[in-house]
Amino acid sequence: MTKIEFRNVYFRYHEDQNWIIEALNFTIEPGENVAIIGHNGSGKSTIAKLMMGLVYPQKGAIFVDGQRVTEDHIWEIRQKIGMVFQNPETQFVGTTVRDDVAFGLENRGVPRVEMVDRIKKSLIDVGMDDYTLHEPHHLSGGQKQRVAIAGVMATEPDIVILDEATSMLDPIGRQEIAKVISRIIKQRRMTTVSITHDVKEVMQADRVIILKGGELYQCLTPRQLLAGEYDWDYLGLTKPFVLSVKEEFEKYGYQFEHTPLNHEELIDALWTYYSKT
Amino acid sequence: MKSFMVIGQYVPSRSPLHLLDPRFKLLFIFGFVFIVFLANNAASYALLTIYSFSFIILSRLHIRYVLKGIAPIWFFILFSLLFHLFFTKEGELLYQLGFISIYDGGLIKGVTISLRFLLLIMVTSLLTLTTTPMEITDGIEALLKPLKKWKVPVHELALMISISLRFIPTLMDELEKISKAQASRGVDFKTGSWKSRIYAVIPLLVPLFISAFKRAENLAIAMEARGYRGDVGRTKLRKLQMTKLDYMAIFVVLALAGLFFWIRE
Repeated sequence: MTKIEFRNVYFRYHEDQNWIIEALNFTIEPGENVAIIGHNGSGKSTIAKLMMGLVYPQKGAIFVDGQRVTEDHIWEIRQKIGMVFQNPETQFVGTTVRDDVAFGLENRGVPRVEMVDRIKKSLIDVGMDDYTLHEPHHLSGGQKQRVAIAGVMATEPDIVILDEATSMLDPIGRQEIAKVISRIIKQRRMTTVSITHDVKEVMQADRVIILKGGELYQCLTPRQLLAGEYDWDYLGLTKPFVLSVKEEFEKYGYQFEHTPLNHEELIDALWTYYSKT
Repeated sequence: MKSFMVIGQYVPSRSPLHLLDPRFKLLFIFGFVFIVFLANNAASYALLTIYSFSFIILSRLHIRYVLKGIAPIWFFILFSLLFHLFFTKEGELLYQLGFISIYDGGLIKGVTISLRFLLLIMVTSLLTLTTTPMEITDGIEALLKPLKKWKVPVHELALMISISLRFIPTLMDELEKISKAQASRGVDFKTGSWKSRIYAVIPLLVPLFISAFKRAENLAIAMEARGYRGDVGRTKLRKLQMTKLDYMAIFVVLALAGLFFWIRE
């Protein structure tokens, strides 16, 4: 059974607007890690909202776990999905770290004893267990984002949606959060949808969905993305360093067998090339 | 800007005052407000002052910190003192200089009223200093629970309070940022006539309101995404439980109140 399915989905906020999402079809399989990219205004964040039933499509249908996202089933569906938003500030509901992690659990009616346990575990998972009673304004953006992740993980969702979850952090914070997220996701084998501008996150995905003006432009693997000729600025991504290096080499007549995905692969490709010639 | 906004700023500690049940603390404050107005002689005022300062000692906060925290209120305290000093014309004339005349009735009234004010503010600010906003909210929610029968949205009210409290420091930061941004563009907050200074506040408030509304909207979305659906099927992490300490405190407070009523005329 597919985890998430978009079936010919149309969506717009107001009737006199153009479609933000137009004739969108795609499926996400259980356990898959899918990155959704596209320039600003391509409807990426709207997709996340549609999956969670925060907004409903005007035409078409969305299925989560085989269940159609409608107002009747919305609470069951939201139980299965956890979402980390872009802005660490506006998703912090509780007055302390512990209360905030508890918020999602309280909403789901988790018994208190179990709650205490789960909060502790998920705070340890994100490395925030020393900050249990801290207030949000004493935390950095990265720390708040960790708490948000803990809050989502504590509810043990099947699906995690990361809506540009690292985009408001500094480079170091971004790297750390990305590490935390990918470790937890691997541990728990969750289906992941990351909406992102970050090339590194894209490279870690199993599949990349490219949106263009609310339509599905292409659906491919990260390797295919690197191998193809794309206007990176248009995709809303910075061109990966590895790719720039590869292109520079190609100018001088070097030929690569595979497109390298990351630094290690580039180095491997270079030294094997060197030892062959 | 933040330094004098102690009201509503919790100071973490594990003092006896911190550990008390918020319901008890709230009821105590409620009672204290009445008690302060029942004081009617020097001894009873002295007793209340001793009580208040011993509460501060019990809270293990620095007295200076607490007094500094109520800095914005000092103006009102001084004002009421001076007002009565100069304008209440009762009792014997104590001192006269030109048109200023001070009567002993005015002196007594001024001192007692500002003392009442000071004690009230001091003790209530102790509540917010030793109790997390969340505990206060829980306390209010628990105390108001009976009103649910009459369809008063107690849970929603409590959540609203707790979220507002959570966003106060955030909005203060925001305000500071906006004021710096506007100052860098030449808005002058510190000089000029009163009128122009009031006008200078407008470019602060407008962006602040806009950002507050945006935040509220995003927060609502985040809350919904996290499965919030009102009071339906909700459990609570924080549970209020009376401990031995609370029962002891009730006993002590009743004894103190008894002493007070015995001393007052």
